[in-house]
Amino acid sequence: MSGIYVRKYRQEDLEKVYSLFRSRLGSYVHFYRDKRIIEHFTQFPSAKRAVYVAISKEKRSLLSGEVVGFLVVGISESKEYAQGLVAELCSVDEEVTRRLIKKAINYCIQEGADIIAVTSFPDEKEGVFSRAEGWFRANPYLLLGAVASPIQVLRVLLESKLESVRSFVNGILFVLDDNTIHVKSKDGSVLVNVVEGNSASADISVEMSNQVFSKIIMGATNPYMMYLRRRIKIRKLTSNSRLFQGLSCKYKILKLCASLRIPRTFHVAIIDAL
Amino acid sequence: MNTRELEKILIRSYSGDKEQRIVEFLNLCYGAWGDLKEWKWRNVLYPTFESDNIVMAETGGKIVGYGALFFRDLYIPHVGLLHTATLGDAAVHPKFRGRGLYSRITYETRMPIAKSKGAGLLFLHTQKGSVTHKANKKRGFVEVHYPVYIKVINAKVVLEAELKEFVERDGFLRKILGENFDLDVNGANITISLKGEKEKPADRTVVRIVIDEKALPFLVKLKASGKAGVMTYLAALLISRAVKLKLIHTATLITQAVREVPRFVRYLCT
Repeated sequence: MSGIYVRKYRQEDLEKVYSLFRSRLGSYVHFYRDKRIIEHFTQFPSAKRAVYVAISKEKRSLLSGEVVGFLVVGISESKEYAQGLVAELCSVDEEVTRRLIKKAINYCIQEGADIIAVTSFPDEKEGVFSRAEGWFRANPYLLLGAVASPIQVLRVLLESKLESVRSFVNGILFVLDDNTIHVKSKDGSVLVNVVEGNSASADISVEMSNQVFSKIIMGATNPYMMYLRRRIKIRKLTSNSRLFQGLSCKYKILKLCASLRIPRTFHVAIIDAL
Repeated sequence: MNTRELEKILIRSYSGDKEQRIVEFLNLCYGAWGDLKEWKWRNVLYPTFESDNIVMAETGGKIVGYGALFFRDLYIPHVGLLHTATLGDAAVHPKFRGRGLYSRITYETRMPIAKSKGAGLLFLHTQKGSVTHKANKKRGFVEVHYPVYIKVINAKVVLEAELKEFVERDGFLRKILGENFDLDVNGANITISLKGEKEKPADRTVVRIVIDEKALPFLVKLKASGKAGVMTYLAALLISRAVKLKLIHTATLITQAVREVPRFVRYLCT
């Protein structure tokens, strides 16, 4: 996109910035930005900060007059040198990113920053941030994730897996370290409940530790491998002959576990880490 | 400190007071954490803030531990929103470290709060290789990497600060280099004094480190590398002559290095 101009953010841009986030971040796993959070971002607590938006001015485009880029930059002086932090960056394409980054660099130079840091989308090619342009990639920080409540995770992740759950008429029992969770389909929705011991009737039980469950959900391991290493145990609890033909039942359960994995396409902005 | 004193420590939720004291405490623990404005923006002004998102450990009216928590939704494509919690800043007073107070604040207080408020997942931002990173990885936390790009505007200032911090942290290097060393970045000469002296007698410098700009990307990566990585990068930089060491007082340096050989061997083995 070549027909754009960059200007300072104004309060009335909020709705359009929100739409930009919704359309641009939709394919990534990310911390959701509602309007309150976007407004909070614009108040980034640096004595020196700037918030820019890129506006499309292509007359024939559907995006004409729309916000196609958003950037928050602030100067942090907590170290011995001043760091320019591009706390948030969202844009529709590489050209818009380039224009916004140029603006941020100029701002950082003008405000006396010694270094500038930015995060990009996980699958984005180097492009704007190439070595040739003086950027280099570093991974000094990382995000650590784990399951806090298996029942909450199963409730959300299994909601869209009705078809896979439906084939187990009496449901599935997930036996984790300190939780036994019964999953069953009923009236077109998936019911997930904590049960005491093995009291609930189910077709099958899946046993694993909280750590293995956490690693599967976070995509650090795959359930097939865990099953082969006997870190996941699958037991038949009823004799439903149609269900337990050959390996199909165990395969179905492992496939269901694999589908629970949260994609690794995490988009994390610097502002998410603050 | 005895067990009775540790038992006296009370962990309670934030109650709207002591904001300035919390910031002073964080600055004491982190060195340079920030100011009240920043603390408020990160915590009380965050849209999902509730008072029990912040816990404080206190004894005798003094803050000795702190931990923050944030609640936000994680968007997962084709699934929707999953309620999550993020463990924010945590700090323990230097005198109370190594006594399990961090565990009490995090695993016995913050995590149960997160669970009770319906968080499905728990996140934590940390520096690679830090104590927090190692401790939480052992507890089953999984790493999620995200690309950070850096552009250095003022190489001289950045290198001076980073190198000083790097050498200060590494007792072995500090012993060998002495309290003062010279740094030369692209022809600009700076003297680093680990004692914080502005001026130093020239004859005390034993090493001059000459750094070429092409070494910058590697030097930044050093911060996030393990011991083996640091050795490899440093060797590569020295071989490619992107970093040169000029020995000024060779005899002093050799004496200091020889004295440190046993420690160096132990450093490599641990």
